[in-house]
Amino acid sequence: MANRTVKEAPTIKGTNPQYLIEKIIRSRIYDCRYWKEDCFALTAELVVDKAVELKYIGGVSGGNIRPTPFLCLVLKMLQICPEKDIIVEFIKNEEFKYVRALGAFYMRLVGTSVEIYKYLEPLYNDYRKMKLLNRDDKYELLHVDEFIDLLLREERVLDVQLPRLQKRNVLEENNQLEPRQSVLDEDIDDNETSDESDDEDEKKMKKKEPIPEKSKKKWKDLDKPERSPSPRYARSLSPREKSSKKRRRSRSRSKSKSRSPARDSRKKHSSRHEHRDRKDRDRDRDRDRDRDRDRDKEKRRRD
Amino acid sequence: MIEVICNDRLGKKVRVKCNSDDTIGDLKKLIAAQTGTKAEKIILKKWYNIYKDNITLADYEIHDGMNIELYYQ
Repeated sequence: MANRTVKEAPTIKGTNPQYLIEKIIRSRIYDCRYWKEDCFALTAELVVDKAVELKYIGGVSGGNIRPTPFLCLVLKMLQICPEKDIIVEFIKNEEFKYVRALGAFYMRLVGTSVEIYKYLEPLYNDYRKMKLLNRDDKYELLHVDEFIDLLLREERVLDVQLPRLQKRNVLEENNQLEPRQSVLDEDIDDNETSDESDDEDEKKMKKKEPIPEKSKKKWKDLDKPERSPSPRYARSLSPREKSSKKRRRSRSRSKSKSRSPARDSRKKHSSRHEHRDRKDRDRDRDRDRDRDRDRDKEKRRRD
Repeated sequence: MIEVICNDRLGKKVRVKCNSDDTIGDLKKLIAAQTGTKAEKIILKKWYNIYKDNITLADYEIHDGMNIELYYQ
């Protein structure tokens, strides 16, 4: 009775939200003391109070598979299904890092891919230290941004199987997300000349506004026929390329980091015509083979 | 190489070949490879003694042909 999900709860990923945590661990949480004593009849406000008292994060620990209070609160939130605004408040609050971690974990479990990237990526800038209780009942050190990185990359964090997250480049191609702006980009730009960095700061301000309707394609379709028959290296530079080349030269002092893998692979192809010539090698070989075969056939007929 | 038999009394009984100097964690990975469950989810016990991951089989005195109980976490 006490462990049923609230009636108005939406189904998450097609199931009862509590079932996001596996059966065995869920049973262990229901049987543990923290759940029975402290998590009884909690509402969204009281969850905040309990979350503020958290001292460490963790999954299950020890030989008897004891769940941590963090995990119990996660299950409680799955049971009561608080509103999205509350979760966003958990994530945005600066003061309590364990409340932030709790909100981020819950968001990773129940949010859509776009929401997850949107709310969790700003937390990459938080570098505070957290305590993590591992399986062997020992405390480890973890930073908040490391935790967010685990949530976005790993499949199984704190003994909970995370739902599938769409890859970022897929969402970028569908124009649902902007390409990732790292805070480190600003640090790199600070090393450049002042007027160039001013231009980029202005651009970043524009990008931070809500997603525009039209955004340029970042990838190139290599199967499409090229526009110009003349090879790229023989063509003179367009004005846009000239200006970007100038900027790239100064930026090359730092490590180049391209945000989309498509851009990297595009640079690797030095000449587009390599593709065409590679396939034609076979054509030449086959043509010679046929010619030899015919020549032999004629010789045999003559003899 | 010794062979250890792991039985969960619910139908899963596997014979795993391993070395005496392998740790329990390595044994769990071998069991996971044979049964298909994840290595982190496996608990190996003998009555109520839970075997810890970082101790070798030789130190637990697990010899060839011994039975170990397989539980899930």
